Amino acid sequence: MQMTQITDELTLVRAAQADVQAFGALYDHYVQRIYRFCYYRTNNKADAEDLTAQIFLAVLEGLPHYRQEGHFAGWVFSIARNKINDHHRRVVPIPLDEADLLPLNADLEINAEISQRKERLLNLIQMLTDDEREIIHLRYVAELTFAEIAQAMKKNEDAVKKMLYRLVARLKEKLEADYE
Amino acid sequence: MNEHPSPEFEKEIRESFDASHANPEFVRELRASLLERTKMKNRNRSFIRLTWTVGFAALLIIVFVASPRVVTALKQLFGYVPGIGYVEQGNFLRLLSAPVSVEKNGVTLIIEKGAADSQQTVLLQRIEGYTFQEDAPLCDTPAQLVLLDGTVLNLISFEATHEGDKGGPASGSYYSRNVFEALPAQTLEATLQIPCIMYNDNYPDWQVELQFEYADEEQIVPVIELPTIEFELPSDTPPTDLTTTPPSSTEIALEGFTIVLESEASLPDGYIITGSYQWTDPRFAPSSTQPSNVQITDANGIQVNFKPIDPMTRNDEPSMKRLPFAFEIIGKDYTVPFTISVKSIVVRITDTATFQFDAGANPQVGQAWNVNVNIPINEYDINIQTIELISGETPTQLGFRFTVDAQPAIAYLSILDLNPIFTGNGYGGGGGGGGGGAEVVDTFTTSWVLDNYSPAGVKTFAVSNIGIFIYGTWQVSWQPKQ
Repeated sequence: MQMTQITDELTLVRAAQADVQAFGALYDHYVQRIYRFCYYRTNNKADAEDLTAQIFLAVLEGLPHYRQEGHFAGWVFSIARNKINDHHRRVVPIPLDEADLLPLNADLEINAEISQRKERLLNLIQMLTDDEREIIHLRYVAELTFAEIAQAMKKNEDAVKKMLYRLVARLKEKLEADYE
Repeated sequence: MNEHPSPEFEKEIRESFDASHANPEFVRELRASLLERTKMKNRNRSFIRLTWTVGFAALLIIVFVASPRVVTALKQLFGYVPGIGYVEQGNFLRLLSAPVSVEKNGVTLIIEKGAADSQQTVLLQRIEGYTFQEDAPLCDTPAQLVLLDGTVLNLISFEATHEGDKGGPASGSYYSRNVFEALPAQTLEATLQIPCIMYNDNYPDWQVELQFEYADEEQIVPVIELPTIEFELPSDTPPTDLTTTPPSSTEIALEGFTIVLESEASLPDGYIITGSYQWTDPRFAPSSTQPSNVQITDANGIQVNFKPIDPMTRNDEPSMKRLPFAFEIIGKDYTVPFTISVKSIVVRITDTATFQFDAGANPQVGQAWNVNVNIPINEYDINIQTIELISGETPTQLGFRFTVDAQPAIAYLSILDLNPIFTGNGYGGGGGGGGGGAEVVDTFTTSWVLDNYSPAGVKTFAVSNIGIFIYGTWQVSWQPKQ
C-alpha cells in the first residue's frame, strides 16, 4: 500500500477507486475544505466534525461508483450539501441574533478597523438567505470553481456565476455604505 | 450586466472566513478510522465473493457496497422487499408498477423492480443480449432519474452482477441494483436516463419511462421486532471451533461486548436477521471497533451460508458503543435454532510510541536500512525491520516504506513522520496506515510518500493507530419465528 499526496486530483481519484487504501490522499486534500464548509454552514464545531465524518464515509462508499470525469469536487460537495441539509432538517435553526458569530483571528484584532470591517462583512453574509450563504460558502470557503458549484448545486454554470456576482456586488455595496 | 467582483473584495471575503480549521487530532482520528474502514470493506468483499465456474458458468461478480441507511429513528417501521432490501413503510412507499423494458440493436434493458421511500430510490436492472466488447469506447457518465419538472436525481451507488453463458463473461445476463436520490413524496413518474449501458459508448442514449404506485401491505415482507436477548461469554472463553486457534492472547479485552438481535424477516428462500454489536468499554468507539470473524451455524453445527447486507440503521451517535449489522441467510434447509458467533474483534488502541532514524545527508530512492528497532507497545512486540526510501508518481514525491513484524499479529498500524520537512512549496499531511488487514499475518509493510518531502537527516517517526485482534467467542442463539 502506498499513500500519495495530491498532485493531480483525477489521478488520485482513479487511484483511490482502484485501491481504496489510496483514499487517504483524497481525504488529505479535502478534509479541511469540507470541515470549513460544514463549520460555516452550521456555526458549530461539533456539528462540523460530525458532518465531516459522515461526508467522508459517504464519499468512501460512493467512490467505487463515481464515474464522472472532472468536477470531482462538485460530486464531493453535492454529498456535503445533502448531509448538511439533512442536518438542518433535524436541528432547530438558531435565530440569527442568537447565532454565534464566527471568531476573528487574533492577528486581525490588531487592527481594529479591519477587524470591524470583517465582522460587518460576516454579519452581512449571515443576513443573506440560506441559498445565498451557501453559494458564498461554496465559492469562498470550499474554493470551488463555478463549474464545480454548478454541479454541486445542480444548477447551470452561468446562473451560478450571475447569482454570485450579484451577491458579491450587493455585499460590497452594503459594506461600502456603512463606511461612507 | 453583472461585473466580475474585484479581486481585492473577493480576497476580503475569503479572509473573513479564515478563522476555523479542523482540529488536527480530529483530522488524524477520522483519517485512521476511514482507512480502517477501507480494510473492513475489502474484507466484506472477499467474504461474500461467489464462485466463478467455467462450463455451465455462472459468473457472479459482486460489487458490495456497504452503504448503511442513514435514518434518525430506530423505531421507524421498516419492511423488506426481496431484491430491494429494507424500505420505510408508510404512506409514501412506492413500488414500480410493472417491469419496463426497452430494446435497441438487439440489446434489451429491463427495469425489473423499483422502490421509492423517503430515503432513496432503488431500481433493479437487467440487460440481455449484450456481448462484451473488449475495445469498446469507454463511456462513464452515470445514469440519472429525471422528474417531470426537470429535477435530476443522481445515482448514489450500484451493485453489479453477471450470470454468464458457457462462454464466460462475454455474454449473458447483466444485473445491477441502482440507488438514486429519493423521489419526492407523491411523485409517481420518472424517466431513467442512461447515457450508455455497460460503459460502452457504442450503446448510447437509453431512456426508460418509470411508473410507480403506492405499495400494498402484501407486497412487503414484515420485519418482526425481536425481544431484547443478549448473550455474552467472556472473551477468554475458548473458541468452539477447534480448527481455528488464535495465534496468541493478550491482556487487552473488550468489556461488556454483547450481540443484540433486533429484528427478523422470513423470505421465501431465507431469512434476514438484524441486530447490533454493543459494548460498554469506554476505550473503544464504534469507529475503532469491528468484529472480524463472524460465523453462523445451525443446530447441527453446520456452517450457514449468509452474507452481510445493508442494515436498516447506522449508528450516528459516536458516543453509543453500538455497531448495527444485518445478515441474509441464504436457504432454509437448516435445522434451527441458529447460532451467531463472533470469534475475533479488531479494536484500535490509543497507545503510541516514537523512534528516531537517521537517513543521512543524501539518501537515495531505493536505499534500504536494516534498522531492527524494537518497540514494545502494550503487550505487543513491534519490530521495525527495514526502512526504505521510496518515490511516488513524480520525482518530487518521496517517503518511506517500513517492514514491520508484530508479535502477536496486529491488524494494522501507522508510522508517520512527526515533523516532516518540505522543500519548495510542499505542504504537509498525513500518510501511513497499512498492516495485516484481513489476514492474520506477523510481517507486513506500510508506506507513504509526500510532495516535496525531504527525507534527509534525523527523523522522528510515530507509531500509532494500532489495530489489534481480540479473540474469544461471543455468541447468541436465534430461533426464527416463521
